[in-house]
Amino acid sequence: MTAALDRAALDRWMAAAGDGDRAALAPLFQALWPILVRYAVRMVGDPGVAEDCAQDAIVQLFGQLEHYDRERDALTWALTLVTWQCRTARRRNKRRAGLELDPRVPAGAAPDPAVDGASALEHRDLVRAAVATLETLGARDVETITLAVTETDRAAVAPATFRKRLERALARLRTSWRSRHGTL
Amino acid sequence: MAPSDPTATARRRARFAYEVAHASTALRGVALAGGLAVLALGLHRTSQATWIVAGALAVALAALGWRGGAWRRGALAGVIAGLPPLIAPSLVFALSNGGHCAMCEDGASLTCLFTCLGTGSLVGVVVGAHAVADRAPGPFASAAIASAALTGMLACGTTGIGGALGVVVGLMAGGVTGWVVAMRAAHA
Repeated sequence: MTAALDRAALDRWMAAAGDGDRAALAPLFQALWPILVRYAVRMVGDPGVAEDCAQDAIVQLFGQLEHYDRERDALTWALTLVTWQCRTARRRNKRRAGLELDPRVPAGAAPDPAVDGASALEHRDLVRAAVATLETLGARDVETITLAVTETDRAAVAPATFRKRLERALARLRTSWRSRHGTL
Repeated sequence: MAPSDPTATARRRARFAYEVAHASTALRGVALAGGLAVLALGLHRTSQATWIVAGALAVALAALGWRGGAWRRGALAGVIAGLPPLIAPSLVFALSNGGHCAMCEDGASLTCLFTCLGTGSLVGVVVGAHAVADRAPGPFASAAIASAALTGMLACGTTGIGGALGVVVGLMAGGVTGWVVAMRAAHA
C-alpha cells in the first residue's frame, strides 16, 4: 500500500511549478508519476500501453503547467489527462484492430491524419467535459473517487464505508455526466 | 542495447515539455519587443539608443517570459504600462508643434521631459497598486517596472539621458506611491 498522498503538497508543487519554480518539478514528478502509471494500468490493462499513456499525460501536463488554475485540484487535473490518454489509446487500438481485419486496407498503411486531428480535438473536448463534470461533485465525492483510483492509504475509513461512499460518488458522477452529455 | 528506463524517459520528456512551453513564451516576448520597436520607429526619431533599448527590451521580455510566474505577469503588465510613455511624447508634439520638435535633435526638451515624467508617474502608480494585489508583489513589480521603463524609453530615450531619466524616475516614484497607497488601503 502506498503512503498517504499529500494532496496539499501536490497542489503547492503544481502551483509553484506553474509559477516558474523549477525546484518544484522533481517532487511533483515523483509524486505524480507512480499514481498516473497505476491508474493507467487499471484503465488499459497492458502495462506497456499504460506507461505510454501515463508518459503522454505527464508530458502534456508539464507542457501546460503555466496554465494551472490553483483554484482547481491538481490530482483531478492529472488524472483527467491520463484518463483521456487511455481512452485515446484504447480507441486507437480498436481502430488498428479494425484496419487489420479490413481486407481493403493494406498492411502497414499510415493512419489518416485528418482522423488523428479530429481525435485530438475530441480528446480536448472530452477532457474539458470530464473536468467540468468532476467539478459538479462535492469535495468528498472527488476525494473518494481519487482515493479509489490512486490506491492511496485510506486506513481512516472502514472498507465497507468506503465502498458505499465510492458507489454513491460514482452514481452521482454518472448522473451528472448524463445530465450534461446524455450518455456515458 | 538495454531498454531505457520509462521513468527516466518520462521525467526527461516532461521536463523538456515544460522548458519548451517556457521557451515559446520567451520567443513571444522577443516578437512583442520587435513589434514595439517597429511602433517606436514609426512614431519617433531613430537613434542608436533606440536599437540599444529595443535589444534590452527583447532580452528582458525573453528572460522574464522564460522565468514565468509573477515575472512573466509583471513583464506583460509592464509592456502595457509602458505604452502611454511610448505614445504620449509624439502625441504631445503633434498637438503642440505640428509633429516636429526642433530641440529634440540636441537633447530632451522640457516638454519631452515632463511628458515622460508625467506619463511614467501615472502608469507607475497603476503598476504599484496592481502589484500589491498579485500573489508575488515583489517579482511582479520589479518585472513590470523594468519592462515599462524599457518600453517607455523606446520613445523617451531617443531624446537623450533627460528623457530616459524622466520615464525611469517617473515610473519608480509612481510605482512606490501606488504600492504604498494600495498597501495602506488593504490594511485599513
